[in-house]
Amino acid sequence: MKELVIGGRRFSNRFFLGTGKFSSREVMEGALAASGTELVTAALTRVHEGDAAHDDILSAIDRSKVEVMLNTSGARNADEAVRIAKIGLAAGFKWVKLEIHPDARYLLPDPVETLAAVEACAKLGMVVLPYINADPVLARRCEEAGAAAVMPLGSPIGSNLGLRTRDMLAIIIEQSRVPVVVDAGVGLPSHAAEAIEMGADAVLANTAVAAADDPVKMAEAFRLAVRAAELAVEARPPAPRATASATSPMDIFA
Amino acid sequence: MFPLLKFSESDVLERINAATPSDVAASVAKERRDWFDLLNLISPAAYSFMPQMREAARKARLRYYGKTVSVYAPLYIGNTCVNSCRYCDFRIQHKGTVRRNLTMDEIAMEADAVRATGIDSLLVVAGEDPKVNTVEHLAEVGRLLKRKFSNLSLEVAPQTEDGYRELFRAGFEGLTCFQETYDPVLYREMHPAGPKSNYEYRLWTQLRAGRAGFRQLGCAFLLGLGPWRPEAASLAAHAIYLMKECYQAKVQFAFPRFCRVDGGFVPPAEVEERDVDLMMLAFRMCFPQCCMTVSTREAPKFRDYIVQVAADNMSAGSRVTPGGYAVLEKERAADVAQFTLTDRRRPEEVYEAIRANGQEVVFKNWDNRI
Repeated sequence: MKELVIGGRRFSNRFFLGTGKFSSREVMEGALAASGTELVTAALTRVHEGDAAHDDILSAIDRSKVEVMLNTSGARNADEAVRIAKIGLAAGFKWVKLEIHPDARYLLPDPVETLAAVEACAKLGMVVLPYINADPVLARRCEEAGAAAVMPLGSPIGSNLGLRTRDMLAIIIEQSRVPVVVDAGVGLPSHAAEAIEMGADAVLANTAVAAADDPVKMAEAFRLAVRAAELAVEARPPAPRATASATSPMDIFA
Repeated sequence: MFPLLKFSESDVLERINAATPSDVAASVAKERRDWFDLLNLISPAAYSFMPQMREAARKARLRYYGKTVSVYAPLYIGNTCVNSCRYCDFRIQHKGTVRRNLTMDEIAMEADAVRATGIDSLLVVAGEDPKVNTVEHLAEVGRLLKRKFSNLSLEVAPQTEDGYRELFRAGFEGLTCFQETYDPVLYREMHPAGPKSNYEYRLWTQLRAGRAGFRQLGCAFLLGLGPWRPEAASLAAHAIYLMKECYQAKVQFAFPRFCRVDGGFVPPAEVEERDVDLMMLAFRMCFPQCCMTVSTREAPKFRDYIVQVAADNMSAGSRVTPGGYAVLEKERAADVAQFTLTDRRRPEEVYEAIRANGQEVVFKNWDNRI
């Protein structure tokens, strides 16, 4: 697969992990290590970004190896999201995941506000990754507005339903000139593998790992699945076809 | 009943009592549950399904809130009150209560004492006294406390929409207003005088606050006043209505059970712990995304259990007395409390109990700079 570069940074692991919902700092640390992730997200509303050394979540992350992308979870509009982004930027967090989901029930992203926030944050020089619905046109608009990557959803946050937006994701992957990170709804390692096999550049999960009975083991499962899919893409699988094809052809007649 | 419901109390009771085990089983098995499922899940037939309900609620809670429990504390800024709620020790006629409204310096002192326990979300509480707790005063309190806490909520007398707009600007993000009872006749009986006697004005409080921008709208009835099943059906209808009208806000449920008060009021419809359990499981199953808090009025054992399967939020180290954290000396503190606490553990003991159950204590879940 093409080397993954976002915001000028190279990533050798295509699995990104969220830091919410874990039972303890120790479990989260174990999951981060097992996932091998090089990019994590953390909600600014949960962390003390100005005092990272004493923050339970931020202090558990080795920022020389792992990029921390603060997210704007809780923001209901572009103004709030940009305010959150600026707070993070002032504390040295240049990467921002724009999450603007005013609907408390399904946490679906507001496309209008998200696009406005992408423009504003890109102008601030931030590395902007917007969480969007799987809308190919919106993905292009975000790209034009300065997004470093787009993060279309597979299904609603935390739903673990997998890639219900598969057909639209395929169009986004086909058209996008920036990396595509499938985010939200990724409930199983097989969902993550499916996204990579489809051509997505990376996958982000949180609930599937943090809410598992054994988050550390699940983090490893995701790492392996994403790597397996990456190898499969590189190995270029034969195209599916409607008829059978014998694995040991018996061409005995001239 | 919640007035916009097209069913009368007798219709609702008839449906609840007619629910069969197979109705309950069908509601338990569903992916998406509605108001009619809630009726099945709070029915007498649901008792024998409580283990299955516990598992379904636990899964829903895990999906939305993970392995975390948010903690907060109330800060009572005053207990003068012009209302006559028959069950409350703050009511104007109750002479046993020592009345006190904290000064801004005292509020700051109390806030610092709460903050020192690690608590970062604060619920500001006051009796209904329009001369003291004006919007301007409450906004001033908000601006003071916003500098100290990540998240502020308000539990005071209902305000106008403009009032809420000002309070939101001052730093309050959440609101709690218990309807006490959705039965207008019982409501009048329980609240014979004072501004609180206006059922309708109180009922639309969350709607006004939601329109004014509040992010969290707390709803409840007082368990013990009216028969709990129709009240619970009304509460659910109220929540569904608010979710439609104020989709940008989150509804929060509380299930405050009537506690013994100094005034000696005997609740007409006492609710047992088993029913609180059933109700909280049913609400978590039908409203998986909504916030749910468990009151300090419940016993420690119940609170520690219910935050694993249903509630996502609990108070820790609560004092229900103006000045109770720092200003008052301990021996006087008991004189002015609104109700008697059942969980009297120190905050650290509550945190330890949460962690012992494999959950993380979340102190900060908002930011006062946003």
